[in-house]
Parts: sequence; structure tokens; C-alpha cells
Amino acid sequence: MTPFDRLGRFVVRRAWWVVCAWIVLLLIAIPFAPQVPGKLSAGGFILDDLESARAKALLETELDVPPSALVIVFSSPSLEAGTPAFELAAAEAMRDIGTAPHVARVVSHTLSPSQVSADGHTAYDIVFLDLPPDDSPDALPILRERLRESPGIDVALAGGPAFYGDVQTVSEADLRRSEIISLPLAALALIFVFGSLVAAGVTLMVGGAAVIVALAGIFVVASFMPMSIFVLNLATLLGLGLGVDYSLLMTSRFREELALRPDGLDRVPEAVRVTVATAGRAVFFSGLTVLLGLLGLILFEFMILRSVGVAGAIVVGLAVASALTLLPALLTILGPRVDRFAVRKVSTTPGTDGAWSRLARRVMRHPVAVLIPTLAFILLLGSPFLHVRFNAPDATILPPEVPSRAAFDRLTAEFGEGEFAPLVIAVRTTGPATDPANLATLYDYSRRLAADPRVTRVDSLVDLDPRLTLSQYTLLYGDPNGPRDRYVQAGLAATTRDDLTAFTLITPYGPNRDEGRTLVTDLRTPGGSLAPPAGVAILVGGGAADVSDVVDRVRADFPRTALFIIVSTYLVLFVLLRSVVLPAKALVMNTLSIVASFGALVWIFQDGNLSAPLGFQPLGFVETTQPVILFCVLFGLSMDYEVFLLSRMKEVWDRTGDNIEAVAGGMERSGRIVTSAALIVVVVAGSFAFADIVLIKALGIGMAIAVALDATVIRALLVPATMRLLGRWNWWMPATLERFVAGRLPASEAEVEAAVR
Amino acid sequence: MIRSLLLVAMAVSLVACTGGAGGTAGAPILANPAAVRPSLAPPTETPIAVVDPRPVVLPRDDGPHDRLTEWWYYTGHLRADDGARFGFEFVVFRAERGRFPTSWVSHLAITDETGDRFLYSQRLEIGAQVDRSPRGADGQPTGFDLRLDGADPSRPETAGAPPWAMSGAGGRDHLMAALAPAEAARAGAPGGLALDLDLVATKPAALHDRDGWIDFGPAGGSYYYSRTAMEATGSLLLEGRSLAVEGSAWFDHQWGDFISVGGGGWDWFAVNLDDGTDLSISLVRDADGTYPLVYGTVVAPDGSVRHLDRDAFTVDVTDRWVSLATGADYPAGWFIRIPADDLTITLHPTVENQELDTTATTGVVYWEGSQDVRATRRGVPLSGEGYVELTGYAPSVTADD
Repeated sequence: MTPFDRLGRFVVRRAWWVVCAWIVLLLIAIPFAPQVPGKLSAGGFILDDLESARAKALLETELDVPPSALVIVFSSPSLEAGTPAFELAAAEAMRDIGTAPHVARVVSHTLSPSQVSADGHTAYDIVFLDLPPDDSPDALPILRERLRESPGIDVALAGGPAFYGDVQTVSEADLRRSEIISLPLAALALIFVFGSLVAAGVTLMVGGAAVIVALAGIFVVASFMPMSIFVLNLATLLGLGLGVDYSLLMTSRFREELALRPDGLDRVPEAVRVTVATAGRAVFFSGLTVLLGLLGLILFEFMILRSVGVAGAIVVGLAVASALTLLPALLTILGPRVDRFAVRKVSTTPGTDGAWSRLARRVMRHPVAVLIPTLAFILLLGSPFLHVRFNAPDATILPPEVPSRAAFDRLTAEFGEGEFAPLVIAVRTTGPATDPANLATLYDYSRRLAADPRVTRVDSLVDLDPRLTLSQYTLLYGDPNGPRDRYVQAGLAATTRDDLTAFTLITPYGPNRDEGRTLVTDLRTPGGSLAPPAGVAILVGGGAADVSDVVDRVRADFPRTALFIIVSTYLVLFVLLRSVVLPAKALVMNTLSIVASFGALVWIFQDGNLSAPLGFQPLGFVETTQPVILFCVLFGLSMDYEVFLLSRMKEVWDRTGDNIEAVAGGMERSGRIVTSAALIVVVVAGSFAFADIVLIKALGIGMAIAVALDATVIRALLVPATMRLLGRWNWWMPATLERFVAGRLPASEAEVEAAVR
Repeated sequence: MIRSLLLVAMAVSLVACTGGAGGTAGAPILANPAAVRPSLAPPTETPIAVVDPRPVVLPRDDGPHDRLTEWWYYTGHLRADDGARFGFEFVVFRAERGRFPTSWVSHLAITDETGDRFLYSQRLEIGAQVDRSPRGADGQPTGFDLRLDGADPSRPETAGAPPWAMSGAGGRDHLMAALAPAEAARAGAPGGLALDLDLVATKPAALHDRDGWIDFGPAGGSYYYSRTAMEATGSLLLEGRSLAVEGSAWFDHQWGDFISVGGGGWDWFAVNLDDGTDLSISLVRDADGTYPLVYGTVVAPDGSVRHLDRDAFTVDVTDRWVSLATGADYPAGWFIRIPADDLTITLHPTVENQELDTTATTGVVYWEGSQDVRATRRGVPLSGEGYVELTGYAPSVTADD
């Protein structure tokens, strides 16, 4: 007896207990689930060991540089900064900000002319906060309360904290919107598939229960480790999609089993037992493949990726658990009543020579003629990925009407994007930075940097004023009592402690510009024209350095994750299919759908195609974690269908030993289920196309495209064509390996089928 | 004169409070900037270093200069109709540092020599609006016109104060400063304090160190000229009484890209003898008590100017005074000898306490006061008027204060 058989028997025996246990679980979970957003944070792109993070940490700990900054933007179409009306209004707005909690200091535009636009109609004050960037939105409520309304000027918030705060707010709104769209559509799809309101309702209920309990689980985990706000949408997407998928598979199988047993007292318990033993096993393996993909995300150290992996694992685990326990318990209780309130007649038993089978046979008659154009089509879809530009997310992931995005657009239009993304170099000298020899070295280094055409200006202890000479700096800093000039005192205090000093490079480039990233590389290249002088060690951070480091690290870590996912998925498929070729072929098929999805991602979101109907502004890049999340999620998700499909083929192969029959029969037997399941995921993922945050929109659309391709082009054309071409090799397993696995590995599909009946 | 160093020490209190333009490490970093977009804002104008020295040209150089440090400095002696005597100091400092806005500080002090009282006040203002100087067709200033309203937008109560203004060109100047009620109360003159003077130079401007350029070596250098003899007429409002006054004034104008030299402070003397000779002496001290820079300027009755090297004169302290307010121990009497002129001068403060605590605006405490002057030239006694400035005797504030 297999473990799934035993589980099926248990659930049948204790159906009410299982339902009650889930009700208790839900009652516990329901109060926590809505609180999840409060536990999640935007950000998650920082790693302590990145050079840029080390530079930032050094400056924070040794120079007391505040870790985050909010920007308060003043604008007026009629008033100009510097005039009493503008300044009195701005001062009135800011009156209580300086004393607000978490405010480290305020740099007013009145003291920094570079914070006033050329036309004078826009100015900004910088409010430095003592909170790290990921926690900085915590200061927003009190700051918004303290910020006074001031007639005559518009006041808006921009900068990291405001952006993060808006990301949280908009993410929650996105989730609500997608739920409003996806739940009714998923319900309709289920009603169409089952033809019964009860079957559809039970399926939705089980999927929903998994999501609610999973959200509570995420709430608990988020209390111990930082979790990204993007978890909210992804968890719901995966939970609903997979929960409903698994329920669909199980319920379909249950109805098939019921149909096979028209009479008898034990027809319902037996149908449930067999369903758990067979479909339950498929669900388990399917969940396992998804889980492996998500575990790949946990191998990354970035909070955003790791938390999506952890949350995804929780969701998948609960989706599987609810499909294997709650659903069979409900089916046991409902029995044939699962077909109550029928709205249309649906056959519960798959035929042997239906449309899917016919399609498969047709493809297999001309496998090469189908394979080549289909492959070319997929590769064509994927080709835009060849010119992908990876970058980190910025304010443009928010819609233009969101306040922090609107304020930021105004700032970049008026001041240029480089002003808000300076490179900050932590410079460590041998001995105090203000020693005459070090001053001379730093003075030369600073001027060498400033001479680079990509550098607009350098701010440092030797750049306080261009009229000050090296001799004057030497005299100023050589005074045993410290510089007598208070401006120089302040500049020194802000930039330098002992042997550590900060150089700030203003460039014309935003953090996502290639020129900025090249500059960072040049700054870090030993022996290069911008390399630090002998005796000086540097760490480059800020602006493009932050982005470079994140992108490079994700790129460097991705192969490890991909290898883990590929190898582990291969092993799971090997166990399931008892073949060394089929798992490899499945991996290739999967990769193709992902490649096509990546291409679409670039074509739409980087290149801006379809931006009007989809309602977003092109980013000009692909956010670097997106392909990673997509790869890990899709690898599991697409493999889901591959598992359903191949396990059915394997059943026929085990029975007949005929490859063509196996392919056609497997296609036919899984056709409706895979189509329905994919439809549900496409609906749920596609509903995120209505999200306001471009990242969420892109993930939803990317996922929907991949799954749709997987369920159509890949399944209907590529799989039969390749299966036909590989012939008996599909099922090849070396004899020694066969002998080795016999009795060691879980039963094969055919053995399970034989055992349960 | 090196009064400068007062201003160099000035440095805009607000900078220290805010981290200022020097606060680069914390820089305006937005965690998430926007996508590709060309920079539309012009780069912030950065000051351009000028090759010094250049000839001093008046009245062009009466006007403001885009230099690190500049000031217009008046001291003088007034007599009212009733015989009451007053000393006055009225100064406007101008500072440029990096991209920080131009900062202005003004000090006004009245020494009531008859009433043995010393009253002073100070203002700070940030921004270009202070400078209303006239300019010629070539854009060059043709004089100076400076006006501090002392308004700070973050403190609405500072709005509407009467202006402190000084203007002039070619030796015809106008000074006007009236304290707002709150300022007057803080200054110890709740009945009000105001000064309104017209000044007319009776000698041409005197360029110090021969060409008006004082070389501070590695610390830079300063342009420096004085109008040592100016007739003053106008009014003084004190405690609700408006007094018609007349007298004399001494005007110093100094500017340049120099930094603080003389870590120990400095003593500055301005003396007008009644034989028509005017004398200026600067003694710049280092922290170790040595004097790296010592020089003087003599302006003859005919306006001719003679430079005095450090070995051309001696200055001895004859008395001291300890401030009860700050504990600073100041010299309070001097004996000056210029052997080549067979000239000796004795100075003694008209009022002992002429100490200004300007930590709120310049970060320093200094002493600047009118003097009783007794002199002897070739055995012939002379009288006169004088002013002395003393810095470095009281601790100054730091950026952390």
C-alpha cells in the first residue's frame, strides 16, 4: 500500500475530523491573513556583502550618514523659490518636520541652491531619516501628519520612503483588484469545466482555504524574517492558481472514479481513496516540482527573492495539503452530490479517441514538419531576450499618477536624474585623511575624477569650494583645533572621520544608465585611469553602483539556482517516469516556454510594445529579479502540466509498450484537465495584468504567457513531435539503473494504478 | 586689515546645523530614481578661481565681489548737540562657500561713551536678495548697496523688521540701521536703537601694502583698501531720543579667496590723529603666540599712503580687562611707537566693556571699541580718535555647538 493510498483511507475514515481541523485552522488564520501587508516591506535588494552595501554601511557607522532620505517637493506654477510668498509657504509646511520622530536632519532648499529648479518654480528639501531604507516607510504616517498644508504651493513626497510606502499601498490595491477579477473568472472557468456549481464551489473553496492559511503562515514567518511586499501578490497568484489546479485534478479524478462505480455502499469511499492514491500522488509530485523551483529562490541571498521562495513554498505546501486532505474529506462527505446544481452536461470519463488524441496523431505523422516551425516560432518569441537590459526597480514601476512617482517625475524633469543617484565612494587612507600627504593624494584623486567627462562634480573634503587651494586645505585641516572656518568644519564633519572620508560623485546618469555602470566599473578597476591612488582603498556605492552590484550578484547566483532546479526536477521526474530521456526532454520543453515568456517580457515591458492597451509606461529595462522569479516559478508550474501529461502517457506506455499510443492516449486522458488547469492559472495570473505596479503586471503577464504556451503550442505540437522523433528512446532506462531503482524508489504510475484497484 | 578672519570663522551657523553643502556623504540619495531621462537642469554654477592680484579699481571695487570672503566695515565717532559722544561699528560681512547661498551677517554696535554703555545687535541673512548694488552697462558694480532685512522664512516673527542698509560709491556712503523692537530689547535698548548717517570721504582711498593686496602666503590673499577719513552727519536714535549727530568714520573694504590665518586671533588698530594723520596697524597672532603677519599703513594729511613693515613700529599692552560675561582676558590699553616718525600713541578704551558675543551669526566673541587717544609727535602732544578690534581672546564656537 502506497503512502497516498494510506492517506486516502485515513481521510475517508476521518472526513469530518479533517474538515473540522481545516475549519479550526481557518478560524485561526482568518484574523492574521489581512494583517500580512503590514508585515511586509518594499525593497529587499540589499546584501551586506555587496561592495555598494559595504560602502553605505561604512559611511553610516563611521560617518553617521543617515541611512535613508525623504524628499519634500514644493512647486507652484506662479510663485518662485526665493520669494517671500514661496518661502513662507514652504517654511510653514515644514515647520514641524524637523522635530518629527526618526528625522535625523533636514537640508532646506534655502541653504542649497542646487535644490531649486532653474525656473524657480520647483524646490525640494531633503529629510534624512534614521531608519534603514526598507523600514523607512514607517516614518511616513507621522511625517504626513506633521507636514502642514500650505496655501500657494503644492507639497509632495518623493524619495525612497515615499516610493516604498506607495509600493506597499499600490501592491495591496493590485491584489484586491486582481482578486475581484480573477475569482469570478476562475469560478466561471470551473463551472464550465465541471458543469456543476457544487464541484466548482468546492474547488474554489479548497483553493481559497489554502491561500488564507498560507497568508497566515506568511504572517508568522514575516514576524521572524523580512519578507517582500511582492510576496503578497505572488503568494495569492500561486495559491489560487495551484490550489484550484490541484483541486481540479483531484475532483475530476474523483468524478471519473465515481462514474466507474455506479453502485455500491463503498463507491464514494473507494472513489476518494483511489483519487488520493493516484491523482493525489500526481498532485504531490507536481507540488514537489513547483516547490523545487521555489526553493531555488531561497538559494539567493536577496530578501526579495528569498522571501518569494519561502512564501511560495508555504503556499505550495498548503495547496498540496488542502488538495490531499480537505478536498478528499469534502468529496467523501459530498459524494455524488458534488455534481449537484449542474449547469451543463459534462462527460466525466475521457474518451480514447478525442480531439487531443487526433491532434497528437496528426502531429506524429509529420513530426519534423511540425517541430521545426514550432521551434522557430518559440525561439522567435524568445529572441527579444537577446537584447535584454537588466536593472533595478525605480520609481517608474509605479503608475505616473501615484504621488511619489509624480513627484519624482517632476524632480527628474527639473533637476536631471543624476542629481538623485550620486555615486558615493568610501575612501580609506593610510593614517588620518587630513594629514598633509593624504590631503595631497586626495586632492589629486578628486581632480582626476572631476576631469572625467562623465562626472558632473565631486563633493569631498577637498572640494568644498573650487577656489580653495591645496595649500589652504592643508592649513585649514592642519589647525590643531580643527578648521576655523565653520563651513569647512561642517564639511569635514559630514565627510570625514580619521582615516575614512566620503567622495560623492554627481553624474548626469540615473542609476539604471549603462554609462553610470561603466563609470562604476572604471572606478573599481585597479590600474585604470580612475583607480584610487596608492595607499588609498575605496568602496564604491550609491546610484549605478547599487544597481550594478545587485544585477551582477543575481546574474552570478542564477546558474547555481538553475542547476539546482534542473537537477532536482530531473530527479523527481526520473522517479516519476522511470526514464532517463523523458525528464531531459521535459526540461527542454519547459525551458522553451520560459524562453518565450522571457522574450515577451522584454518585447512588452522593456521595448514598450502593447504598453497602451496594457496601460503602463515602458521601463526601458527588465527588473533583474523578474526573470529569476519567473524562471523559478514557471519551471515548477510548467512542469506541473508536463507531469500530468507524461504520467498519463507513461500509464499507457506501461500498459501497451506502444509509443504512439502512449502519446495519443496520454494527451487525450490529460487533455481536458491540463487545458482547464492552465486556463485557471492563465486567468489568475492574467488578472495581474490589471496591476498598477509594472513588476506585478509583468510577472502576471509573463506567467500567463508561459502557461498558455505550455498548455497549447508546447503540449499540443512540440511534445508529440519530439515524443514521436525520440520513439522508444523516450522510455529508455539502462538495465543496471532499472535494477538499482527497483524496490528502492516509489512505485511507478502503472504500479500505483495496478495496486489501487 | 585682517578682520576677515572674523568672517572666515563665520561660516554661516546654519551650515553647521544642516550639514550644509558639505554634507555630501549623506547626499540627496533617492533610493529609487527614475528611468532614462536627459538632465534638463543646468549644472549648478560653480565659482571660478581668479588669478590674483589684480589692480584695485574704484568705484568698481567698492561693489561686491564673487569671493570667499568680503566685508564693508565702518567704525566711527559721533557727537550729539548736547555734547554726548558715541562710538559706532557697523559692518556687513559677505561669505561664499561652495554651492551654499551667499551668506550675509551684519553687526551694529553703539558705544555710549558719555553714558558708559555698550549696545549691539546682529543679523544674518542668506541669499542674493541682500545685494542691490548698482551695476554699469558692462555688468560690473559701480558701488555697493546692501540691505539686510533679517527675515528668516522659518521664523515668521522675523518678517517686517526695519532694514539694515549700507550703500555707497567713491567715498559718498549712506548707513541706515534700525533695530526691530525685539532686537532692541535684546540689545538692551528697549526704547529703540537706530543709526542713520551720511558719510563723505575727505581723503582718497588708501591701498594697504602699497597695491591694496595683502599676501597671506599659503592661506591666500586679500584686497584691502580703506577710507580712513570720512565726515559723518546724521541721526542716532537711542532710548526713544533722536539725536542729531556728526563726527567721523573709518571705512575698510576687504575681499578675497583667503582662509583664516592667525590661529590665535588678531589685534587691529585704527587711529585718526588730529594733525590729519591716520594710522592702521594689524597684528596677526598664531596659536603659539607668535605673530606671522604684522604690518601697518600710515595715511598722511594729504592722503599719501605709506606702508609700515613689522619692524617699523612697536605695540605694547599697558592694561587688561576681563570680561565678566565670557571670562575672556583682553588687552585694554596700548602704547604704540613709530620710531621713524618719532610718534608715540597711547590708547585706552572709552568704555571697558565693548565685547560682542556674535556666536549666533559668526560663531565668535570679539571686542571692538572706541578709544581715548593721546599721542606725541616729536614732542608735540596730539589727540585723536581710535578704534581697536581684538579677536581670539574668547573661545569661539565649533560646528558642533
